[in-house]
Amino acid sequence: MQPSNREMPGMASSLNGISHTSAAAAAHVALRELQNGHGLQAPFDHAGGGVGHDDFLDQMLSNLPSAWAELGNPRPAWVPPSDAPTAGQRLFSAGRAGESAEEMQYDESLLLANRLRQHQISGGSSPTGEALMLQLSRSGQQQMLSGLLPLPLTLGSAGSADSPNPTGGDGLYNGFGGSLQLAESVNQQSFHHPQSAPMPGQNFGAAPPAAGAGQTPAASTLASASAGGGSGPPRQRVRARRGQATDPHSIAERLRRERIAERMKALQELVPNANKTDKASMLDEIIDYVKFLQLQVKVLSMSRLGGAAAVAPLVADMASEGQSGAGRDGANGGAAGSSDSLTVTEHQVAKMMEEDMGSAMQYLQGKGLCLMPISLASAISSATAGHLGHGLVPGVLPPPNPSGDAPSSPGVSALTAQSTMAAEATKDGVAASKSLSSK
Amino acid sequence: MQATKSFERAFLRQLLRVFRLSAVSYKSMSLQERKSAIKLSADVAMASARGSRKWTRGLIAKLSEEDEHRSFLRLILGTEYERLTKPCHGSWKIPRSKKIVRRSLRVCSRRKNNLRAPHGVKSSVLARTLVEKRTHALKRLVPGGESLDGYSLLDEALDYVISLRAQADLMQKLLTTFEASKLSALSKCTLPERKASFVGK
Repeated sequence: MQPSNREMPGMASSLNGISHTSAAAAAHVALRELQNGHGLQAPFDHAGGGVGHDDFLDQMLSNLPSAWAELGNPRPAWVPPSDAPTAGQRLFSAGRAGESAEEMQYDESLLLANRLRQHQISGGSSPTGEALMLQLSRSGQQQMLSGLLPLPLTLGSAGSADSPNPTGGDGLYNGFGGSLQLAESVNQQSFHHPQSAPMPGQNFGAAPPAAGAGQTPAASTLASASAGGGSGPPRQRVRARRGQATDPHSIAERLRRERIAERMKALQELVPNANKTDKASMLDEIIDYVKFLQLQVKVLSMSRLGGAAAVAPLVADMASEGQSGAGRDGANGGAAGSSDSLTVTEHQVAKMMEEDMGSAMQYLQGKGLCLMPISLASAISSATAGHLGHGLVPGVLPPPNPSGDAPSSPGVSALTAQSTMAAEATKDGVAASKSLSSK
Repeated sequence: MQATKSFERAFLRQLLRVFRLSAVSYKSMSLQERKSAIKLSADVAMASARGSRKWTRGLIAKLSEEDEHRSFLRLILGTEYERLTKPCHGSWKIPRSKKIVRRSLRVCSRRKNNLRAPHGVKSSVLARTLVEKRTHALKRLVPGGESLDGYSLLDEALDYVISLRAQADLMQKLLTTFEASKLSALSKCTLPERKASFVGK
């Protein structure tokens, strides 16, 4: 950023060895002189201290003639003169471009902002910065607002003018300190539509009070930026924690551990009941869950899934064999004879559901079973997978009609597969729960 | 984490195709045969739907151990079979010199052991053995997991769990659909007076 680089040495040199407040005062005085010369009133009312720091004043005053020369030009474009070495000159020339009272005030605020930035760069104390900011706020936010409002307009027009202008203005703003919220918001707004003018006003209104708080982070980023030679955002270095060496082996180890931790976290989301913090129990849960899922697939493959390819002949078979026979054929295949009672129960329930749901429910409850929607059963089975080990495999019951259309043997067979599972599970009391499809 | 829709669709498509090919029937097959046939089809469908991953390769390798399955697999997978059974290189692993890792591990463990004063039972060692035991168990569960190191093992396990869950869910839904269609067909046949107003999937 050419302009900023050129500005910085100029301003820094001018400020070196000068006390901050007096430099600011000198700035105020100089500004006031200029304003008086123009018949404008000074927004800053404090009389200021010594005007005796000549070099700075001389610099500024010497640059004034060339700045004065531009006064006559009603050019709205923000054209920094090519021979202006200092920010102050460019500032004033820029200020002159609009020839309005408000812009003078904005120049002052910009000048102050520049001062502030310089102070930060030269390691200025924050009280000074706050003093400056206080002055800014004291000058009246309204003045600032009104001062700032037209500026985006001019900048907008400048932006639409020729190509060097935006870059000049841009450079100027960047020179003022992109780290300050003031300048940043102007920068963003400046090349938008003039209609967005109210926005910067609000931003600036909010910025000065917040700028005091934003000083230190701005200072730090600025310091690092300037330290890095302005080579983009400060690079982040991996800093070793206390007590750990920075040799590549431990770094590699740490990276590896972090990757593993990341994977563990992802697995934690998948596996139910995975609120364990240490690795061993987490692995335990994962193992149990994998075993459960594999078992679930095995059980599902035991059911009548294979009948997909042969639905029609199967139905014919079932029709010929009759309901209970067909049911038992498939069901007992899965049950392996160990759950005949459950099969009978299922048939019973199916028959009862044909007639009356209520009695069917009572019958079930008498047996310690219940009906539930499949989604709930799935949720429960997955939730309790870890606990029960093999858990419950949610079975399927086709929904009975309100008119009492019965679920019959095909559904029953699935239940039996499930009850097989339940029989194998070693839990009592958590018997097979019949699932009712919620459709 | 959810299995992708494309995986689910591919799985279902493959599964139905395999069912048709394998001609699972109730007359000729016993329960055990049927169960193994269906499980095989489901696993093959899952592996082919997922594509090329460590665990899919391990799974297919495990399934191909028996000759009869191998011809079946070749029939189903076609050209993919050759690609999937190609011995995978160890290049997927993070390129690391084993010597350096071992040395660093030794240094780290020595440092840790020196930090904790020698107790009767070194808790760190105990914790590590527990984790190691479980890691070995997980390696045995996840197909093709024996040759994986810590991170890749967890990675493959994650993927495997997602696919398994999707497999179980899809098979369940398939079962529901078949049951529903069977029920409607049945009620049409045997209970003509009742309407089978039944919404299947």
